[in-house]
Amino acid sequence: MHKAALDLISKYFGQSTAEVYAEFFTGEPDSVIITSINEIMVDYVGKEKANDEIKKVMEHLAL
Amino acid sequence: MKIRTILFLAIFLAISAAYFLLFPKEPFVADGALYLIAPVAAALIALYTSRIYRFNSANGRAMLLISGGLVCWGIAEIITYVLNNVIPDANTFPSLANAFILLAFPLFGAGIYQGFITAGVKLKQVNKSLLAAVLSVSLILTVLVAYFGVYLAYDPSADLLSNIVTVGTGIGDLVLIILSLVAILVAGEYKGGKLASFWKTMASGFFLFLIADIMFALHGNQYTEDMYEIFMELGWIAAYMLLAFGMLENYVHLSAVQKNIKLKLSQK
Repeated sequence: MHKAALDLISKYFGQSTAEVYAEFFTGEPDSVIITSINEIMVDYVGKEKANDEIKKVMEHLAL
Repeated sequence: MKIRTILFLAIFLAISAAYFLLFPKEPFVADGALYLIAPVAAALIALYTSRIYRFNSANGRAMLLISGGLVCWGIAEIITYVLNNVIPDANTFPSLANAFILLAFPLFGAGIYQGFITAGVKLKQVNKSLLAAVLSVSLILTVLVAYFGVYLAYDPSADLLSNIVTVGTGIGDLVLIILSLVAILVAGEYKGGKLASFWKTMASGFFLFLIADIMFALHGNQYTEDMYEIFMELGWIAAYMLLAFGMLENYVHLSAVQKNIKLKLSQK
């Protein structure tokens, strides 16, 4: 879960932002991680794209 | 784009126009150092923005390549300024500045292609009326650039290298039309997001460049000091400023995201 979320952050916000989030996500439940990425993604890539991308992260989690 | 950004752009253009009217300088107004502010600012801000992504991400690669193009144009403008004002004896055509102008086109192309891939644009889902409007404008620009910037630019009496540079620049403008179109499609993928604003601003900047380039080609590549020329110069300045603002807004947003998460981390 962490890796999929961090890959998504890195893809759009770059590696340096992903590194800070990696620290923040440590020990956090999946719900907090999803809320966090949803918050920054909606603002940056728009609601529709954010939903698509977060859905992929969730699917990754299901696997 | 934010209101304050538009206001700043309008004020900057008004100051530039006043400067060009009050201090016209032979042989053309671009000699004014004020003209250099916009391209140098665009190049520096673009580099700074690329740095925050640290290059090794999909979006970071797109930013880095587009920044590379802006840096090439910034260098070309500085070289042109130096050749016109400092060492006019060395001012030949083509010059090193032309090489940097041409080098920017493949960098912009690669950057916008990377942006297109990252966005995962689905052409079937693109708004049809938006596509029709953009295609119509692109078609008009294509005809104008192809005729004035490519066909008429070829001079059988000039040497091969000069023709390669002039026709190559016209072809570069044709590429810029396609890239602007692609940038609009990418913006459509990020509807409602800050990235949409970034790509729209990039597309607007490139379109303004094209319009100024077409005005230059229509002018017969001859500089004279009149209002037409001042509008042409303002077109280039506005284009550079738009590209700089697009990058700057992106940088400010990313900085805010990083600052916010660092704050949350410190409170953990």
